[in-house]
Amino acid sequence: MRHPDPACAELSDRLDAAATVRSVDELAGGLERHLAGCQACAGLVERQRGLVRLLSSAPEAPQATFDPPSLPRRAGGRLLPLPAWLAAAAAAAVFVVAGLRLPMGPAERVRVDRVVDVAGAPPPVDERLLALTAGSEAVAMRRPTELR
Amino acid sequence: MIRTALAAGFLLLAALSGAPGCSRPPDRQADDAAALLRRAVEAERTCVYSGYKRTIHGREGEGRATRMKVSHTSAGRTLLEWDEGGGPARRWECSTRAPWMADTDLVLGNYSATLDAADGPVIAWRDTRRLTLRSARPGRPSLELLVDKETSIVLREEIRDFDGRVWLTNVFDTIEYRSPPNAPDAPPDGAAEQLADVREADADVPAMPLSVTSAPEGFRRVSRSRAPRDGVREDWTDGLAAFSVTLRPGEAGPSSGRDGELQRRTCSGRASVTGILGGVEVVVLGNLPVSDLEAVARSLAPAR
Repeated sequence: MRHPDPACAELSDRLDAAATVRSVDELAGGLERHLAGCQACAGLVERQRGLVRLLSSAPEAPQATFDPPSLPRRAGGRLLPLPAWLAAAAAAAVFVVAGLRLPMGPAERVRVDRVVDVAGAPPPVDERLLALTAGSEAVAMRRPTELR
Repeated sequence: MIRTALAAGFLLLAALSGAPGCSRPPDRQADDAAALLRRAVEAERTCVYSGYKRTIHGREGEGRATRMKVSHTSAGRTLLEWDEGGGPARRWECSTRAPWMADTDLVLGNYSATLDAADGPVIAWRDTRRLTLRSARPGRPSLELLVDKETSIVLREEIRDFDGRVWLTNVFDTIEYRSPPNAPDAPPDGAAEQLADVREADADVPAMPLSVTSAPEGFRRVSRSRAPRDGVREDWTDGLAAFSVTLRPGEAGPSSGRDGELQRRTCSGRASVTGILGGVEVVVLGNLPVSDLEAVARSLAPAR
């Protein structure tokens, strides 16, 4: 509720200043004259000065500092010890490589219904394969000059 | 008493640490083995030599053998010569004698090289070191090399098939090294027939109607070429093992079986899988277990 006397209302707004000045003469705006004539406001200022004195005489409160507890690195919501962009790039690379290496589905491959082992019929000798596995001399030795 | 025991233990540890095989950590030994393999490939390219060697189907002293003269000229040509039962001498020229020499990185990527700490046996009156190539994957061949200690030329090689049986042995009986200025640069009289390099691709090869969608791990396609009867062929290798896929138009019949049927054939060291799949005759052939070849055939899918 606002005070009906404007001078009392102004003093109420400037109560802290009025309580801390060394002399009421330092108060501007005619407040010093109002305090001289208004007993209620003078009592209010005096009570506020007492409160300021009381607080100023109290010992300083001890200061306490607290170090935040050290948390595990991965406990902050990050699953990998990597920057987010690097993790995203790695995931993309894995996805691409896996996609490239994925074998074709059975439906796309040739259809094999049956497998038969043929006995007594050795696989053919193939010179190109012989050259790839045994070398030129093995290809040449298909014409032997001596038997042991 | 305790001091004597401690001293003995210390001496024992010192002796063990100096013993052959314990002197170098395993990774260092692998590095040495890989380095020797690369030196052997380089020596085969740069050394000038001629000698006589035997190529034996199977173990030395047991299998059928062919004796031939091998020479490497200062011009980088490798010549193989031999008499065919008293007839005119046959002469071949090739770019690389051994297939594993063509791509050392591929071989070392799929096979681990081990170098014996002790010297190997004397071959063709030359001191050697023993180098072994083995795969960690089952069903792959292995290779044992005896390498000239001084020149790094491979004097003996023994290939074992995927079952561990000795399949082929190449061994020098004599070898003579020459310095390039004194070496003959031209082959003897008579033209040499060329042994084509499988890795050289044919020109204008039609596209394969089916493509391999899942090759065994470590394998790389090295060539695509034409095959008889309007066929197309791909060759794949991991450095020592190899397989080929040949495709041509085909029809089901008594010999080829019905469409969708795969026929598997095996013998020592090699296998094949054949069949008519979707109107295409498929032949997969290689020195791999037949199950691996069947997986290749089953992975075929219409080419995109």
